[in-house]
Amino acid sequence: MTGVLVEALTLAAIYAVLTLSLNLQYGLTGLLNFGVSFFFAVGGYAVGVVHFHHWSPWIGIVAAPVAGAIAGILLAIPTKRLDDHYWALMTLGVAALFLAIMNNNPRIAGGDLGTYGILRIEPARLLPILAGVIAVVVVAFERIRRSQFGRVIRVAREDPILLAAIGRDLFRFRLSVLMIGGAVAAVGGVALAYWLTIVAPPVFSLDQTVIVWAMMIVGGRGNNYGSLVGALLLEAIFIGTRFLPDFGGLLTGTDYALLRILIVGASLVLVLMVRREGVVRESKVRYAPLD
Amino acid sequence: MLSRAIIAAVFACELALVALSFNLGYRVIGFANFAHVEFVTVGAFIALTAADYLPLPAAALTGAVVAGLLAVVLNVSIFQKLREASVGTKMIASAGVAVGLRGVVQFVWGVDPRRFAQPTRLFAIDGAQMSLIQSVVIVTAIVSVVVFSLLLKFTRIGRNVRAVADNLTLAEARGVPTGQVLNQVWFISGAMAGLAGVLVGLDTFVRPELGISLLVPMFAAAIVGGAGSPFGAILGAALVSTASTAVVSIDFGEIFGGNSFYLGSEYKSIVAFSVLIMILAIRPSGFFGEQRGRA
Repeated sequence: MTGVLVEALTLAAIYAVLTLSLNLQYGLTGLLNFGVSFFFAVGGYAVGVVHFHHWSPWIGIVAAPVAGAIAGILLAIPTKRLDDHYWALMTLGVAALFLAIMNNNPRIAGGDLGTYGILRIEPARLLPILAGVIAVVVVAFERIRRSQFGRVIRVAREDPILLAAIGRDLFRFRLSVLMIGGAVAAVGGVALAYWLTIVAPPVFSLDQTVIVWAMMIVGGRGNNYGSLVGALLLEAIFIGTRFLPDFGGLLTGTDYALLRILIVGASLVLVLMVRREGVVRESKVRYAPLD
Repeated sequence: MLSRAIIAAVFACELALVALSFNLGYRVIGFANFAHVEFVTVGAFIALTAADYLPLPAAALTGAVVAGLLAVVLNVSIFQKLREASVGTKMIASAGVAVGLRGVVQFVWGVDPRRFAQPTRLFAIDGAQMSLIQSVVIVTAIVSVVVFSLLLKFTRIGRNVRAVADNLTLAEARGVPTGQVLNQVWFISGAMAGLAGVLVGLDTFVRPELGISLLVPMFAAAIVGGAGSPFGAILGAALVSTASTAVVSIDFGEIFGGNSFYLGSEYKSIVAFSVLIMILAIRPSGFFGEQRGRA
């Protein structure tokens, strides 16, 4: 029982890192990134590639956030001239492209079978590490939110043309946000790899992206603490379904997996219809009065 | 060579129906609907079930109609209520709807791929083999596109749809029943996607991932043609299909000297997307998309 809860809490913490990253990108900057899975796949594959080639695991851990930031650049550059809708669809495609490449090249990290048997970091050790990561990310993102940079990216969210009108380069801010978001999500990907012990294409599917979106929207867009609430809340509901009666064998293992994806879809749609701002509202930043 | 061309043509026809119906929705409803590909899946599964009781053409029609009705139900119960929301919010909601629908499909029909029971008659054209089903796919797709364009051009429904697509507020002020028109658009768009699902299902397998496997090629075809331009979508589908089939048909061994070497069919989606990236780099709004002012 306690074991199950600790595992669930660990997974919630991993998702919280990913949700925080998406919140910076969408909640604060308004970037519709449907390829979040690309960023955490890059982190996961940093671990996977290193494991597959029997290099020192530290190389993967150190390389992951750097690779995530580079992934942010890779995503930003070809999409530079695109407007919102195209941008959103493009991110989805880039994520699909990355997975297709990993899927089809067994020499990189085992192809479609992926790479197995990564030495598991037990939750008792992983959870404190993740708590530290989350604390650092929350403090940093809160500072960003209150800074001049935070003000500018909120303008980018609300009115990109206004941003251009006041002489700011939209691309530069997008690029910075994607690099920071990519690095943070990649760290989440590393944790996921060490928790699952597997790095394979299905681990980073589009469904994962939708789960992270659901957590961010349910928790409250634009609020960093909301991201934590959303990740905990959805993971709590997931784990709750595990304790449902199985109705005399009516529900099988696959059904529980389906139930999970149904909950994701339903919670996402329901929150958008009933309480669009999510559980925790975005708080206004107060600045000292200007004299 | 000819047999490769047939495969490319069949895929182009299937993709054209999906991308065309997606673009219709995109243009009129105003957002990229992730759930659109799930109409493909639902149409295929409904037709598969109906084929146990009905002759195949009637079953196919049932699949299309049910997919269309599902689209209307989703509009009335969810998307109409999000009318005032931002485009991003609607897209996110549609992603939620998409995974939810896929969950329901897996719940009802299970996760294993299935096949239509059908005659696998083959005939030869110039030495290349073509199945009856492949010719049915091509003919059905062409007929649907023609019917669709006639509908859009010459009927009252079509005129209303064009008016709403052009300017919703103005159409409303002039007494066009916009709520009703939007429902009609959802129905037509969903039904066409459902029909495409039946065709893909006949041609290959019916499985819950049928729709989502078409998501990236659909976006690629729709965007290359210019999102919102229905006929650009056909061109986009042809381009994406040709490029992706061509790449897996080239013998690289012959070109570079050496053993025969072909790229696997998994490269199809990679090529589809690379085509998209290249075209968007040159024309950020696709071939027929309107050029907007940008920040």
